[in-house]
Amino acid sequence: MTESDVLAAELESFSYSISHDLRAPVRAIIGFSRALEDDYGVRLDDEGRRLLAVVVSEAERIDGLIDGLVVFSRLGHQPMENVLVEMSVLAREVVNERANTRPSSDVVIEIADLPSISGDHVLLRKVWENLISNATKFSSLQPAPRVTIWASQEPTRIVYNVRDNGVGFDMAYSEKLFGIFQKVHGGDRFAGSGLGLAIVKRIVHRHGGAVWADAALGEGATLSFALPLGRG
Amino acid sequence: MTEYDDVEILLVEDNRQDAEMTMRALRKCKIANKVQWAKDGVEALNFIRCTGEFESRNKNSFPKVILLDLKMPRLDGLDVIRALKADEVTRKIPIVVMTSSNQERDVTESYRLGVNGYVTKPVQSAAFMEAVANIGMFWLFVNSTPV
Amino acid sequence: MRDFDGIEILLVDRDESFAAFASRVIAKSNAGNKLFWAKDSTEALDFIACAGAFERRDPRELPRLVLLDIEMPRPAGFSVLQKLKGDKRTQPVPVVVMTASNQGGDVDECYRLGVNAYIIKPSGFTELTEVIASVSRFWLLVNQVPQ
Repeated sequence: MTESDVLAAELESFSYSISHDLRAPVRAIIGFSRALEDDYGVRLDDEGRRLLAVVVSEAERIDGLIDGLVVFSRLGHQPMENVLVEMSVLAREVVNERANTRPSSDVVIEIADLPSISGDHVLLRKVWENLISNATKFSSLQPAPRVTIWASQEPTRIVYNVRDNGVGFDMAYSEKLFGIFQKVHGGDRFAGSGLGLAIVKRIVHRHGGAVWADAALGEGATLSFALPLGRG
Repeated sequence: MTEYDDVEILLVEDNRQDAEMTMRALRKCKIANKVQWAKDGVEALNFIRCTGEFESRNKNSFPKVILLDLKMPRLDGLDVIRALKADEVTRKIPIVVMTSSNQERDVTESYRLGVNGYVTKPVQSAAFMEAVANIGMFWLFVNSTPV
Repeated sequence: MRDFDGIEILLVDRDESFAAFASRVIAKSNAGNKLFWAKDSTEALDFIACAGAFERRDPRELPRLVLLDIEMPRPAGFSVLQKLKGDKRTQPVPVVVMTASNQGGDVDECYRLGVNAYIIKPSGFTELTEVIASVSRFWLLVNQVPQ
């Protein structure tokens, strides 16, 4: 095992135990805040109720982060299947599911034909879910939000790309994009678990591939992942 | 007659906040008024056996169900189950494990030891309240306990 | 060709109309739980043992819940409970007895054999619906079984 393998293993076990230990106090914060709302809500004015609602929603956000950590912590050692995955079908399924749960969204998502590749069906689905979620989130503030998905075939690998027409980011921060809990945009303009792209990176690396981003401020971003041909 | 008689539910839980939320959920749904809270396995066994601080408890009255956490100091949940199952008098008291752990080995071992049910505590408080309500409803009003 | 795969609930009861009624109530509270009705102990035992008409069933596949009426002709319903709880492979499967018998002796014997819960079937339509719904909510929604 290389040093980075050892570090990765330690990080996974740390993530697992921390998420386990954090759940109890988070449950208490949510539970007791709701109890306060139920029993004393009438005695609070609008501002008081608003403050309490913020406590609850932030606690629920921690819960989401914990879920992300748990998923992330399992990624390293779950056994991976190796089957032919029809990426066009998979990406379209993910998009359709999103459309069903967000009927009011006006993001236009275009998917070109995508070549199939060997890999783990469930994990690759997660990659599409996270990339598409990320792209739609960033383009959502535009007047005509648009996400484009296409692929290009290279001699030893296939590169899949997801482009959004959102605010983009400064390439100086591109390293941080796929890090854990890193956000390259300040504030809570784009709320999220912060782990989505770290999970994408981990899954793609387990497939022997690579991820990267290309963007410019004000010009949207393209997130790409490459998977090697001839696996397994 | 002491305050420890006619207890319907024995809640064995080392986390004070979880215990409070569970008892609150049971009260809210008007499911149980007589819930005894034991902070760990030792206190739980003393209660059931009418020993220690519970000497004066009526030996012939048992709760309708024991809600049992697994990870506790002094004596953990699995040991409590073993102790209760080893004694002819307490063997048949229904036990429902209520724990944060959804580790497969805890589930398997608990059932192997003979628990009646196993519940992983939901984090979302609405789901938690609902789970406690369903548990209370079934074990207090639907189930028939042994004589 | 009957499909006996993916059965989550095994309902053992000689009363066809009760079986149909229970299936409907369960289906209403939890979408998608596959239920199999065995009309006597022999059919139930064959199902569990993957024998006779159920030869092709995978023995590793166990139901999430068995609802069992003990008042059944030879072999008696007790034999199903005994077989389930006596065999290491099937011991963890939750067995909930649902029967008309309110005899203390029957209740006691079932718990002695390791039953997870014992329910006396109420005669009223509304109460019976509520009882089955509560069974569904706890045993299929809240309770966790080993994988």
